[in-house]
Amino acid sequence: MPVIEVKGLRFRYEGSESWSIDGVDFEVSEGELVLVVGPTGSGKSTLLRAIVGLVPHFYKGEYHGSVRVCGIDVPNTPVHVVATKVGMVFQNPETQLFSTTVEAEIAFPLENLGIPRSEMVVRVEEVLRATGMTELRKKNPAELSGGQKQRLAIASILAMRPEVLVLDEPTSMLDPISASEILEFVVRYCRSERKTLVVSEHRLDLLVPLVDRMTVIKDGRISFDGPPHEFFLHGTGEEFRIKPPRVPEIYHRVAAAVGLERSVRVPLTAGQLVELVSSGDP
Amino acid sequence: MAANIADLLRYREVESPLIRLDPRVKLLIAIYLFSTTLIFDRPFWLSILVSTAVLFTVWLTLLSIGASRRLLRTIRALSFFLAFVVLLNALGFVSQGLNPLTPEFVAITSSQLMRFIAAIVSFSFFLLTVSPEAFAATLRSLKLPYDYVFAMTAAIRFAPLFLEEIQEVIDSQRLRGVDYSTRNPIKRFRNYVRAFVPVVINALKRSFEMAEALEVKCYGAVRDRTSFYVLRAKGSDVGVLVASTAAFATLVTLRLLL
Ligand SMILES: Nc1ncnc2c1ncn2[C@@H]1O[C@H](COP(=O)(O)OP(=O)(O)OP(=O)(O)O)[C@@H](O)[C@H]1O
Ligand SMILES: [Mg+2]
Repeated sequence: MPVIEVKGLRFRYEGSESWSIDGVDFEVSEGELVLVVGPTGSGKSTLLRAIVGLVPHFYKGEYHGSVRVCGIDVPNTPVHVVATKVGMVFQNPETQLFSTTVEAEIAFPLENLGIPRSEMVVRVEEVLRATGMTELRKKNPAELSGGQKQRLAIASILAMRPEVLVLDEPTSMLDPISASEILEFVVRYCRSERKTLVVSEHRLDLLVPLVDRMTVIKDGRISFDGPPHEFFLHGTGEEFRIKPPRVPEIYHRVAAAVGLERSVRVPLTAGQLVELVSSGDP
Repeated sequence: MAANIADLLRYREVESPLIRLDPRVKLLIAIYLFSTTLIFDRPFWLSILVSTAVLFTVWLTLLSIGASRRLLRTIRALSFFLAFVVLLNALGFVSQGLNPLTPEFVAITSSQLMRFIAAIVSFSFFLLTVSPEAFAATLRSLKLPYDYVFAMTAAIRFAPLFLEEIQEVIDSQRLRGVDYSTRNPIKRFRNYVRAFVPVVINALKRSFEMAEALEVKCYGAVRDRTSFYVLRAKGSDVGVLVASTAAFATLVTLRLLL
């Protein structure tokens, strides 16, 4: 049974003329890692908001269709109930941190949920360890680096032990090194804890080889949904105004230049490319 | 200037017995110090003596955690009000047909200035020695509704960000040739307003993002919120509480006997 079930979703923000999500069916099964991509304004954030229920509870508008997550009927359930199953993290770490120490920030959602203190202490410890922030526990979030701040934003969501993680461009305000550290951490965490992940990103290089699925959105509709190597089979997605990852791009250019027949499995990492070249029959 | 204020608001964790003292006890001591300066209102030499002692106490405590310079800045920030106290006093003298250019006026006014400074500064004993977390926990222990406590801690958390942003806008506009040191007050005011607009727009956008983040962090989900930081009085806290209460009681008795 899928963890996330979006059926026939259409949504138009209050006061907006056009449909930001215009007929989307989207299913994710347990433990699956899904990368959502698409040009700016295509509706990625809107879809992710609909999964936690920010659409239609926080963002009002015209809503059709159904969204079920972990068996919960999202449009008819308050966000704070869905949020214990679906943890959401946004772009800007600055506006997601409210406390004056790292450990207090991790405990903040648990306090809001009225979790007993003894349980809270255990969870804070667990999350500090999982995110490698134990040393920073007494620090003021204001004094952390951008990457550490975003790691903390994720940590405080993990304290609620959600089954699904939804990240909306979690690295767009970070430098490339922090960005890849964060994404690697998230992928490793979701794999080892069997969590489901839905993440939207503009930087594809790192995630494309790591995820199970790529969902491409354009004008509020899904225009591709499948394994990443299939998406890059015929091109590199310029028609979606996606900045292509390097390896498939190089592969296609070389293939075009020397007139190669394209492989059925497009390489996504440097390693796969080397393997393909050295196998001698691309 | 904005950076200075931001610095004042940024609490730094230091290891010291004072920092570890229960914040409720610190609040109580601050109230004792405050009340002491208030009850010793005359004769002027005694009130100067008591105020100086209070100032000295606060200065010593702040010195022990390396925050004594903040005390000076607090006093400097008060200078406008101090001038106001002098002016009021002078007016009071004149209205009673007395000459303010006498030793008597100087004695009374300086004792009032000292009491005023000591009264305000006595709260630094609490404010500058508690972490924001301890501050929030104290407010909660006084049964203040959590929404207010949260608003206050969030303000402490976001004020430096806000001030930093103002500084950034001013700096970038200065690079574009906007003159913030102009003598013309109207021009100057207009320049500051112009710097303020992008900051306010950003703040609005930010408050929206914050509301969204609070929502997914389950803010307000249950009525019986629990807390991670709890205040637990130790033996030493009780000791300090008893000693300071005894000292205060002695001072009150002295004042009544005098
Ligand atoms: N709060 C809102 N009110 C009104 N319209 C909105 C709101 N948020 C988004 N929209 C509109 O909905 C459409 C989809 O926006 P959305 O933010 O979901 O796109 P996106 O794919 O996340 O873009 P980006 O890559 O820039 O983040 C856009 O046309 C946008 O203008
Ligand atoms: Mg978006």
